[in-house]
Amino acid sequence: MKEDIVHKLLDIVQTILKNKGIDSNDEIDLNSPLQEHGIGLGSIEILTLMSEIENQFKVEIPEKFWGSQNFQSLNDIVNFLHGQN
Amino acid sequence: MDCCYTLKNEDQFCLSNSLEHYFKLGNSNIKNWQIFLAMNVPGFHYNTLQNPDVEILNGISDTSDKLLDNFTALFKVKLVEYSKNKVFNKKAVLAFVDDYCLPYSNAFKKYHNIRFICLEIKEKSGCLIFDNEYKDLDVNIESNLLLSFYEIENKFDSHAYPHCNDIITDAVQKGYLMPNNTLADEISSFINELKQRSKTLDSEILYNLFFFINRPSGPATTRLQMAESLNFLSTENNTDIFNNMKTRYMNLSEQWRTIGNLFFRISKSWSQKHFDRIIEKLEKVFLIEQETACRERI
Repeated sequence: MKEDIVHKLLDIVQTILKNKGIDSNDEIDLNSPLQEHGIGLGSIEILTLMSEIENQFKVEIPEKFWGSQNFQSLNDIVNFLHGQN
Repeated sequence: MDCCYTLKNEDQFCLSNSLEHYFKLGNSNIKNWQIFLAMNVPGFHYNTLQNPDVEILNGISDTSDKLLDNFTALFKVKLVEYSKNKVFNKKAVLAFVDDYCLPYSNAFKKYHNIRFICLEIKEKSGCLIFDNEYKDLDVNIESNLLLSFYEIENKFDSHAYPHCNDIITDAVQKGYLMPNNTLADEISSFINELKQRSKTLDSEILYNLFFFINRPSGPATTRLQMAESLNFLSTENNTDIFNNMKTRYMNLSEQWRTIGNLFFRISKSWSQKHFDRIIEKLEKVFLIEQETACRERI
């Protein structure tokens, strides 16, 4: 179950990175920070990721994550999604 | 015209952001909030939904030329204008750009918005742009993307700059740190407009609202900069008299940031429930802004 979440999440991230012009064939570390110094997502891309997660996983991300302190890594997101099931 | 909440004239906040990037390129450690105070730019301005041609100013009473004068006077630097040909040999410059010609801009080929950015020329066909966020663009430097260029004399001479305390003392003496009590009334009008037009808010307008709130000139960033300024004052003067005000501005910044991001969320996927929640949060932030304007004075 968790593997399915990771697989689907990585698909979303890779699409966003591709749209940004970043070739993400390398393995993405789930513990890396989401931002520019980690996976390479800017603030708008992180919001896009959160919107895509809501649409594709049919979940509602709580309001506290929509402020300046949102998810720090993909692992945080995986744990959140896993907890929704 | 559907494109609302955009700046029609030069964006002074982008100027302070660009100046910070510019100084960083020279390893000068000048913070955005210092430039922000030196230029007299607390607050923000915007166009209304109903009258997009009317620009409402908030906390800004001068033109960008006057703000630049404030900046150059306090930092004792001089702006030198360069021609396009000469700029090809320059490593980093400040430039006036038109968002209409900026490929990554939300206003690209939609409407004109002249403002300052910092850029570093890589080669004739590309440049690094230091805008609200870092960009690496393959843009044609010969195009009308770039309107004019400036170099700052003595920009890497940190001895030329005044001490932070001097900047803040100057800002306080000139009244720059006074909260503006007209903002709360404007937020109230804004909420009413949103309620009346909720059925006609398409994704582009909603995205513009997100951008309007989170951009350097927006309330989220300007409130954060105000809190950072107050934090510096507290530390430097070893006092806690600014603590309440600092906390209030930090809270306001976070509230605005969340509202902005929630606009982004419904621009991607409309939800009446989420829209109603935004209105609820705006009404709450209206009360905090009103309270801040009435109670706090430096």
